[in-house]
Amino acid sequence: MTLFNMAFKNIRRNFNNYFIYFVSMVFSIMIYHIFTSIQYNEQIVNLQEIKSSIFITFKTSSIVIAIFAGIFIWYSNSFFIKKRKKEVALYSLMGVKKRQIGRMLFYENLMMGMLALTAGVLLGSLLSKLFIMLLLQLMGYSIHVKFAIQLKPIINTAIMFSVLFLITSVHSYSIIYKFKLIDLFKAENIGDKEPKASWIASLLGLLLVGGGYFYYLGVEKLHALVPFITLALVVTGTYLLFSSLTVYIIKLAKKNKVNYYSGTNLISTSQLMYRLKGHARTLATIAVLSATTLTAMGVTSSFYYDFQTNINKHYPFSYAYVSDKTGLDKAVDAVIAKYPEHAIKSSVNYELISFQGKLPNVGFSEKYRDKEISVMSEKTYNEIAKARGLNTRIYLDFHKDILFIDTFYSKAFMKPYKGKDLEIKVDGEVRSYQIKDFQSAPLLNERIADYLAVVDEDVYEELREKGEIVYGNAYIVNNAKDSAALTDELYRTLKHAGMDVDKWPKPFSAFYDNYKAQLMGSGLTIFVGAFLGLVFLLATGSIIFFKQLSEANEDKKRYGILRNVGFDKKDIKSIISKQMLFVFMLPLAVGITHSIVAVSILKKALGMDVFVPLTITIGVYTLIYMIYYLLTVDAYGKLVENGR
Amino acid sequence: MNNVLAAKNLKKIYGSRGNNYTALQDINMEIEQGEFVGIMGPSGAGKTTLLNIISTIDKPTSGSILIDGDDIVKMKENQLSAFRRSKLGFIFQDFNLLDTLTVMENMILPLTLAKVNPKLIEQRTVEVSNILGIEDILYKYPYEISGGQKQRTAAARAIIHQPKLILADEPTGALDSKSSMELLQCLSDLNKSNGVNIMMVTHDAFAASYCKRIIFIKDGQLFTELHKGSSRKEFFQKILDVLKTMGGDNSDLI
Repeated sequence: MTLFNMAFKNIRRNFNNYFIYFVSMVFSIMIYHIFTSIQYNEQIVNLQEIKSSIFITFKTSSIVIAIFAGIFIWYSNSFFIKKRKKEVALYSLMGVKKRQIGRMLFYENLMMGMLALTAGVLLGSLLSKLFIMLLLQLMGYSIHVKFAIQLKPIINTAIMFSVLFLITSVHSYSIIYKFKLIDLFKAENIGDKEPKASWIASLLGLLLVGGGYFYYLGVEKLHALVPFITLALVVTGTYLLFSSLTVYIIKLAKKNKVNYYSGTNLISTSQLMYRLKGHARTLATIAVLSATTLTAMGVTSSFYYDFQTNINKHYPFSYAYVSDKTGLDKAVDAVIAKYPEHAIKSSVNYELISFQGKLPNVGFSEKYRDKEISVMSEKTYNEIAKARGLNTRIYLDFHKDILFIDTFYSKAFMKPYKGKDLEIKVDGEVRSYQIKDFQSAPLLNERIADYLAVVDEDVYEELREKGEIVYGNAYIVNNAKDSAALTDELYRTLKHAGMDVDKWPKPFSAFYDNYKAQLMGSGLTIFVGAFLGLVFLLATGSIIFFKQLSEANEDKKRYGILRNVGFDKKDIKSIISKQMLFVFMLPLAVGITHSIVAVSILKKALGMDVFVPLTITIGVYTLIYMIYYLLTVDAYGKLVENGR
Repeated sequence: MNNVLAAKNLKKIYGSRGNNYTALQDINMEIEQGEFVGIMGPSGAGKTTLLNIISTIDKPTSGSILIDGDDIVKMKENQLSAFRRSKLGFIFQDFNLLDTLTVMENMILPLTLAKVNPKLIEQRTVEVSNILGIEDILYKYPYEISGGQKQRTAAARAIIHQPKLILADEPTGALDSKSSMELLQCLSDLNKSNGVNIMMVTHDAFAASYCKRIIFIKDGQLFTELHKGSSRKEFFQKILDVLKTMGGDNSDLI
């Protein structure tokens, strides 16, 4: 029997052990392959407007996947080899040279890798059409995707992962040399002392995590160092918490005699305690990994959700343009009339006066406060609100009072406007108005009048003589989300009439443009975020799974004793379930807490609604994570059951 | 009915058609209240099979076993594990203590399984640990104590829930002679002063001499029976005589 044959037989025999590892590996390779396929897909490359962003996004994320897969394979490999320590020692005892054993493991590894690579590339090629369709769907394209197997991404994936497998195989080859024959005869780590709970470390851990939260949430102005400081505090704190506070929790559980002395609690609690030292680091790592994944997925889904729910707030009108009060209006009406599916639902004419002015001090230095400010009468405001179907009407009862709108306003970085004075330069003199009310949502579409002051009718009449008047029309049409053709024709008409559509502030704003651009961006991010998150989650789940199974192997004897003493199958199942629940739930709970805090900054800084998307993200994550829990309990149970 | 255990016409045949091996043949035995019974016999005589069947781990091919009036042959798996927990106590050759639990926690395992209230658990712990002389090591872990102490802990675990019958499988097999003597004395005292019923499988004549009665089996059948007379020394000599007449490879028995 050659070494190669032996390696092959080993894989076949151990396939149950390898299965989860294999699945995670195939999945990572598949996603990597799909991501590279997208980079090289001709149909996508030919989508002019997004070419570069797609290419860079998928290039970067496939590199992230490769790095992560590398770490995962490295970790799993050392795990598998340590698990086979005894087998290796036995070969040594029989006189097999370490070089030969190493070569055998090297072959095994390489074979597994090649198998996974083939499966991953095959699945990836088959499914890439589906994934590209999903991506285009999310980005708002309706293009028929052709099924194509391309050579370039296959070569790319094959080279990338072959290198990874080669490196990790060499690593596992080297582990063999660290084994000593005496290990075979040594009793397995009996007599691990009960871990001591250091209250200083517990307190420090709590303080660090709490401090990190406090600092992150309380920070006045976000700057580049904030995430690093927060991360450093929270991550160190998490590791300390897991290594010390958990011991306290379990000790506390032991103190409650009624609970501790009841049924299987005695066993599960003491087993946990015994394992805790070795566990702490893995648990903390899993908590940090979960937090990272959840945060990334939470942020992308929040942006996607925010965009989907708020696009109408930012662009309430399908079209709004600056009118020259001549033939342009008629031309525009004629164009819209050509598209019966986009019939006008409501429309409004408005006028603004443009002045130079100065914003009150809400946290910016002098030079950033000189802005062009649009002034509007309260009557116009109410007309626009009516056209939008809003119920809000305003009545300014004091001549010096205004309603101010700043669409760039951010609660996290700026002080409130209310009560402050807005300055407007009229004929060389500076007039000051008190801001009685403030809102950040645009009245017309964004970028049309970003700084808007609504004034009393009399004040407006007086100002009208002194500033530059801008007339405009705004429409809401049916099916604005599909109005590509209409939007296109309007652009052409307006350009033809001599409008400079790229000027600032924009003389023309179309809902569809912005919807389309944001849909592409957020569709792309949610696609990448979701699949990266999934790769991370699978790897995280697999790591806990391996870790627990390696412990199950060591615990076989203990469960044999329990059976001898009169524990039945149900009791043993309950012990395992409880133990695993703690091991799975604690890091998940910590990870969820971290991610909620991390994502909540979006609410604070950008006023985004993060509740719904974050709940969905956490829900999906927990669901998949729980599948790993069930798999682990099941595999653990089977392992110790056979250990009689 | 004063019998703790009554086995009738026990038969155990291993294997399937054509290739049968009879491990036990027509075993009839009884253990009465207050007895300390030893089971002896050469290797392969069927001692372990008998013990396994009485422990409810294995089922006989035919026959009946009544323990405390219940026929364990007719019981279902669920009933059996409940029965095992409440009516039987086990002592094993290799102690079977959990190294993650303290001596006390190991001892009280059967009580926690039965969900006895903590006050009673603590009370029983004090009582039993005093009887077995392990009250000073209650908070130590198994790796911190000697083999003899380990086996006494195991014995404490076996009796703490006041089972009807203690089954001991070569309890002195892994102990040195001094620890063996101490443990056997303990078992003997438990039997005498606390009325604990014990059935002990052994092939050590010295250990067997602590019993009140010894049942010898050979080739799956009852061979003979010995009752203890006045002194242990005399009994020990009688045991050796029986073992001699039983023949077989007795070199490891003495």
